[in-house]
Formats: sequence, C-alpha cells, structure tokens
Amino acid sequence: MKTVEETPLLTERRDLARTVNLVLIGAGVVAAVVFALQPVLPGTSLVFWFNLMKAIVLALSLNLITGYTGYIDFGHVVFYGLGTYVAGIAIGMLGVVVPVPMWVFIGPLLVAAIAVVVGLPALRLRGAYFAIAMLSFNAATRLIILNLPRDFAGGAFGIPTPEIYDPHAAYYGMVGLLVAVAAFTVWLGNSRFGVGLKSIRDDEVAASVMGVRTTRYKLAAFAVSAYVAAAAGSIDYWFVAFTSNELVFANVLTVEMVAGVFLGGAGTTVGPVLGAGVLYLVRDFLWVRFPYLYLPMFGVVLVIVVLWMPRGIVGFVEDRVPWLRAKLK
Amino acid sequence: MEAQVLLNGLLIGGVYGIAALGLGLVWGVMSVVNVSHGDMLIFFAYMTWVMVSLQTLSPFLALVILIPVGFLLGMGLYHVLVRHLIRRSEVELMSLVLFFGISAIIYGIAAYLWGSDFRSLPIPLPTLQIMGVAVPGTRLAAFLIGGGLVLGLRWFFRKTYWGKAIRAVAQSRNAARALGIDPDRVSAVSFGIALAYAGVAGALIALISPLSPSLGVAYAGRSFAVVVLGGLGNPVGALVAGIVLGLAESLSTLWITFSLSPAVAFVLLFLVLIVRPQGLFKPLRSR
Repeated sequence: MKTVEETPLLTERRDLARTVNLVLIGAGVVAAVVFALQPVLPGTSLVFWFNLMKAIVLALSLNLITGYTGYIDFGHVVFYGLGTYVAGIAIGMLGVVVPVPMWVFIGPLLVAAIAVVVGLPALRLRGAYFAIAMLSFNAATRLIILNLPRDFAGGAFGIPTPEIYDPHAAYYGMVGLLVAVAAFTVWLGNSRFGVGLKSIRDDEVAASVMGVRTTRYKLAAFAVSAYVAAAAGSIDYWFVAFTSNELVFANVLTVEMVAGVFLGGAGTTVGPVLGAGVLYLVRDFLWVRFPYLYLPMFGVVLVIVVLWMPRGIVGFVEDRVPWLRAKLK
Repeated sequence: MEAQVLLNGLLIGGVYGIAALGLGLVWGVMSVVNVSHGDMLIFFAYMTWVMVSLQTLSPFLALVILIPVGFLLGMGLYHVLVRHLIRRSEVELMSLVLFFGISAIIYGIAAYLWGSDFRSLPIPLPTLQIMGVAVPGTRLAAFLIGGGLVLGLRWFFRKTYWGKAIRAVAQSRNAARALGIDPDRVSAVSFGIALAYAGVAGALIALISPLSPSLGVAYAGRSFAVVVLGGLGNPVGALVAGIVLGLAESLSTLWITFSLSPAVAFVLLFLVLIVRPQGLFKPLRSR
C-alpha cells in the first residue's frame, strides 16, 4: 500500500471525518434513547414506533447479505415469516416452557440453521439465479406451511395467542434487537469479516484467490442476516400475539426491505437505516390516505434509485461531499 | 384417470411455454431479468378480461389485439427505462432491482383496478369426448395457439433477418455492432416481441383460469422454472420445459393436495437451479 504524506490538509480532513463519526454515533445513541423512551412518554403510538424499528431492523438484515455480500435476495421475507412461526408454533401450539422473552431470541437460531441448509446450495448460484431461487423458496415455504396440519401450524387461520400479549415488553425486545443489529453493522464496516464480504461482492473469484474463504463468509453473513430477520419476526409475533400465513410471507415486505436498502445505499451502515426510515414515514402518510398507492410508490422509488442514484442516498451525498466517503461506508 | 391428468398437464404446458418465452428472450438478448414478467402476464390477462366482458369481444379477437399492444408497450418500456440500464456495468443485478420495482407498480395497479376477487371469462369452446377422455376445447385451442407461436419464433430466429440479428446481439453486442447491426434497435424489437408474446400468453391465461392479481407470483415462478429448464430464449426448449412443468403440476395433484400444486413450479425451479443451473437446452446465445 502507498504511504500518504502527512499534510495539514489531510490532518484537517481526518479531524473532520472523526467529527462526523462522533456525530453519527451520537445520533445513534440519541435515537436509541428516543426509541426506548416512547412507551413512557404520554400520547405516543407504540405501534408506530414499533413498526418503524421493525422496518429498520429488516432493512439492516437484508443489507448484510444484499448490501455487503452482493447477493440480491428476493425472498428474504421468508426468514421473518419463519421467525413468527418458530415463536408461534413453539409458544402457541406446543406450549414450550422457555419464557417468551428468551424464546424470541433463541427460536430464531433454528431459522438461522435453516438458512445455512438452504444457503449451502443456494449461495452457489450467482446473480439473478440466487434472487429467483430465494423468491421460489419463499413461495414454496408459504404454501407448505399453509398445508401443514392445522393443529401444528394453524393453517390458513394462523396462530392467535392472546395469553402472551404484552406490547410493552415486546417493544423493548425490539429496541434491544435494533441496538444489537446497528452495533453489529457498525462493527462489520471496519472488521476483517466485513471487508471479506465486500470483496466477495466486488469480485468473488478474486476474493477466493486472495484467500477469502468465500463459502464460509457468505454462509455466515446469510445466517446472521436470517437470524436478525427471524428475531424481528418472533418479536413481532410477541407484539401482536398473532401470526398468519397471508401476512408474514407477503412479497410486499420484501419489496419494502429491498427499497429501503437501495434507497439508502446498499452495503453502508447509515444507508438502510435512512432508507427504511424515510420510506416508513412516507408509507405511514400514504397508507391512511391512499391505501393502494403505497405499493406502487415503493416500485417508483426502486425505479428512480436504479436509474438515477444507483448508490442510494449515501452514494448521492458522497458524490457531492467527497471527504465523507470513508466515513459513511 | 391418469390419461385425463396427463392430457390436462400437456395442454396447460403449451401455455406455460409461451408464457415464459418473453422472459427468456429479454434475458438472453440483453441480460435483463424481468422479474415483473408474471405481473405483466396477469395484467395482459386482465386486459383480455376487460375487452371480453365489457366490450363483448371474442377472446380470440382480444388476443390478436394484444399482439401490437404488447409490442408497442415493450418498445416503449425499452426506450424509456431499460436503454439507460444497458450501458452500465452490472446490468443483470440492477435490472433485477428495477423490475422488482416495476413488479410492485403493476401489482399495485392491478389490485387497485380489479381488486382481489377472482374474475373469469365464459368458456368459448365446448368440451370434446375422445376415447373416453374429456378434451376441453378452449384448452386445446390455447395449447395449439401457444405451441404454434412458440414454434413460429424458432422459424423467425433461423430464417429472417431480424431473427438472426437478435441472435447476433445475444451472442455479442459489440461484434453485432461491428457487422452493422444496431444493438439498440434490435434490443428494442426483442423487448417488443417479448411483450407481444406475453400479451398472447396473458390472453390464453385469461381463457384457461380465473384471474386474481396475486396470480402474478405463481406465473413468475412458472416462467422462471421454464426458462431455467429450457434455456434462455430457446423456443423449443421453452415448449418442452412448459410441458414438463404442466405434467409435473398436474401429476402432483394425484398425490398432494390441489392447493399445493403452485409450489411444484417453485420446488422444481429450486431443484433445477441447484442441480443443473445451466438448464437442459442450449440458450439462444449459443451457436
């Protein structure tokens, strides 16, 4: 690597970059506190804040495999859906004795294991083939769960479990998950693991030639990504005390995740948070007034992003303020 | 019983073949993966339904009308959106995201206009009895129209100037340009042909099954299964793969519940991708 001569300008830029970094971390802490305070503040809608966190967590989850590793996953909602069912079947149908607040974090490990089993063959596929394999995996999983025995998986009726209903506790579960995922993503940005994943995204063959164990790296990223989505699903099940086939495997949710990640900037830390957050606010505004508009709106966002700002909001800002480049990634 | 099931699978396979053709053609010629293909098919199917039930046209006339409509829509879509994408690197990945967005737009519009109720057309042709097997006339006509047009495309690719130009561009855009073929125009025409075929396929789908906007996902899965099995843009491959899928789906109903049969395409697709991602037939760009 070429050594760079220390110049006053460079030092100044580095100081600026450090300031930006501190500001971002500060913003993260403030955001976490704001989220954590919502249930005790008067007059706030718990559902609104909970779903905002869920949207951000899901976007960060997809970002791990699609943003960092470059594998576009059009069936990512399957892990979220399986997460709700892992919790629903264990708690509502089998009556597992593990306390709910623990199970929503333990159960998703099963989904991560499923991701490893599916990922082992599926991650050998590249580009469009992987995306479509996942799309079909989601569709097939949905249909199979629908047709499982009704006293095991609830069939078309779903699994209602009013006895575990405790939105305040579930809300804090989601706060914990959001903080954990955000911290993991920040750590990933500078870690050996994260750099390895980005090298796979940029050129998988070159990465493996350079000694990156691509299969292990991809599987690990996929498993973590699936775990996060599944945990979001489990906690969501806890929050609403219900899961149903129709809702939790809906492609709409994948569209939201993909749009959030690409609008913000795939493979960055800040991007998915920003993208998912912005889309959530717009959706919340549109949903009440024009219920049919919001799905096409996500579509329009994707079209615009692909054609005019392929690196998302973060890339758009970076191109105008170049010294931020190293910091927002 | 078995003969009846096999016949049903065979007849619907012709429709699956033509339904998948546009997807494979665009993918093969310009590495653009139209993940909204299933939603486009269902949109055309609804247009057929609108023409037949509101304007009281014959469904076969509606089918003929959809050919130029699809062609123009395809050319327009190419010029407005896809053209800007093709000049970039990573065409395939970015096209996935672009058409994922378009899929959401089309699905949203279809859900808004036609709701989630099932709509169906009156069946225009009677059912024939041949050697104890019921042959639904409509499905037979759909099979013949679909299969015939698919084989017609094989002739088009081999014998006409435009067909050969499309194959040349599929093999190499730069080499084609060096030979005096304009890859941009050829790509636009390919997109037009792809959507014209999707228009016909949509009309045939409206003839043989009740419509709901969510059917798009099922047809996307089927089309991808056929394209992966049959090779990108290979007409004969598409027809054979369509029939294989049709038979697999209808035979599956002998053992598993009917509501699971759309999963057959997805499972088949998943397995083929993992075992033999290069498919069973040569893609358009070979030779």
